[in-house]
Amino acid sequence: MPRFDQWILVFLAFSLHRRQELLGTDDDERFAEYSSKAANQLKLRMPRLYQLYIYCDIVYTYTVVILAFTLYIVIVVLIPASLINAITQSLVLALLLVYLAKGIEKLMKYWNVLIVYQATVLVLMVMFQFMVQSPDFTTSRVKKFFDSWPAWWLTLCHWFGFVKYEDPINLKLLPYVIFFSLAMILAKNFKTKLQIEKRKLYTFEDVDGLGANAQVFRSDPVDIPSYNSKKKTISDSKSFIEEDVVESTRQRRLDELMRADPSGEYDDLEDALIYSYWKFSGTARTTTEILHHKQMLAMRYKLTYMIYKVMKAWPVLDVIAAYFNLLLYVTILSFALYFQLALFWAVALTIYMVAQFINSTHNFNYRQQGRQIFIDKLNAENADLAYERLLKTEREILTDRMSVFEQSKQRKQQLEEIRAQKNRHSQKLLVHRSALVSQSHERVSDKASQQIEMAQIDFGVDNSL
Amino acid sequence: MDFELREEKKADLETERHENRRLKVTDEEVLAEFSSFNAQIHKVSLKSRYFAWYSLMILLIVGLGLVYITSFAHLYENSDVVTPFSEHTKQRMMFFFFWAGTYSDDRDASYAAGVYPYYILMLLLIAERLAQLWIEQRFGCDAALIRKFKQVEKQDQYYRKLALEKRK
Repeated sequence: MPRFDQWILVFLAFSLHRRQELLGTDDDERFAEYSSKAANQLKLRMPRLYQLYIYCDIVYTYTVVILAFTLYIVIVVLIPASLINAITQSLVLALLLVYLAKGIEKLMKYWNVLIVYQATVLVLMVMFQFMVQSPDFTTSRVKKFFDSWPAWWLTLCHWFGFVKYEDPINLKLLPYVIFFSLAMILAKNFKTKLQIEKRKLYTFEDVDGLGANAQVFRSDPVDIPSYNSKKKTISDSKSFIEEDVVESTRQRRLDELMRADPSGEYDDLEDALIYSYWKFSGTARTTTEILHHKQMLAMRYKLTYMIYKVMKAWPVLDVIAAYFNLLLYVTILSFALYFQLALFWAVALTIYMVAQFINSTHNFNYRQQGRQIFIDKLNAENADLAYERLLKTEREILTDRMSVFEQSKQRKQQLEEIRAQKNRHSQKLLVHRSALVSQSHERVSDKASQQIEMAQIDFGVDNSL
Repeated sequence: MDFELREEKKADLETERHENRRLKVTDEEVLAEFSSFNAQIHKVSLKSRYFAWYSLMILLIVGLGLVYITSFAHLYENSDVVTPFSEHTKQRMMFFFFWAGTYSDDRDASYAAGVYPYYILMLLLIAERLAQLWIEQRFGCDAALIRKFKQVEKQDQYYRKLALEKRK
């Protein structure tokens, strides 16, 4: 564990590193070399800490956009209100709309508007303050020129936010400096976030062609001789060569893929870092292994991978997402009824009603479509008929229906006839059956009387007595 | 005789089945249709949801801008402050702001107390858009990508095993 003064040194070095990273240096190569060395040292000596740093980095990259927007809005609310800040607020909200509607690429495009606006505001503010704070201002020509203007000009200046600041001028100007610097810093962060999302993944199946190396994953990997370093002897030199050939072809194919997709590029520095890390820890041997580990590193930064990892929560999230608009609607309704009876909430309610109307029509059409498909499926044997029906006119369909009605009528009549016949037949059967039953009864009674007689004879009972 | 009866019944059933064949469906078929219907039903409403979200977001931007302007314009003050507007137009503007529900008066309560519903609405709208993106494709996490992740994870397992074997 390092001492306290060493920690201070580390912190200073880190801040220096951060500064270089943001503003750039004259000697970029040396900076990269030193940073790679430092990262390697950190990885080897304190892997836990490095892991923690990685996790913090992930959290930072995914909360940076939303944090930026909240910071802007909170600062705008806290500082003295003016027309300049009102425009900032509207601009930030519009950018939020762009980000949510079209994604980060569009946001990066329009973010420059905010940078330019904040830069101009900062420059104007500084110029105005320097002008007003100077002791010669009261006797200057500029003052005399503005005095000749109408009186409401001053009020308009106040509304815009051009006010002479009192003692702590730095503190008053600080929000504008923060706005500008935030806009500048975040533009770079968006770029890195986009790069992470755009990185593509390559598996062995992609590299070797369609499932050429799939056998490796199907069987137990430890039992494969060509991949087991312990079994490498002179007699296995053939397999050595084979492996090298496979390795080289795979490498070539990967290079081709990488060249085809520029978003999947990795710089040499990162290569070297990862290679050294996995070489030192003794887990990687070949270039493909290194590339694979690099992919794992690239993959775990992805938002989609994180979503894939929480697959168990998907059903719950699905239900919440499906019915979230109802929550929004109820909130708007409650605010409209209990907070304020105003045009804003009325318009909001109207928008939602129109949306629900469109939604209901869409749903109805979809249901009708589904119904038609289901009916056609039922009439699978008459698939051609179903297709023909689509080509028919309404009148033809009507006549068809009439014919179907007539046919069903005829069928009903036939059925009735059949039923009548059946009834007659069953009546006949009943008569026949009853006759049979009576005959059998008679037979049974005859048998019984005979048996009784026989028993009487056996036991020697005399009837006459 | 019983044989005859059975034959009768069979024929009867067959005629009935012939009559009602178009309407007879198994439970499995119905359930399959219902599940496929349900899988798409929320995607059908996405268009209207996006329309509502977009319009409400624009309304919110305009509304919050107006609220923010009224918080520093001090139109209600009948003081010495000289404005480019006459008293009549000031009153009309005030009425419009009040009527629109975008009037914030910091004499009675703080800015936050008068405006918090707009911010709640903003948070809900952000969540609503995220919900829409989730329903669309789960932020781009489709079946092909899941397959790829599984492949890469399998590769990782393979290398881990290899490393373990090497250490032994």
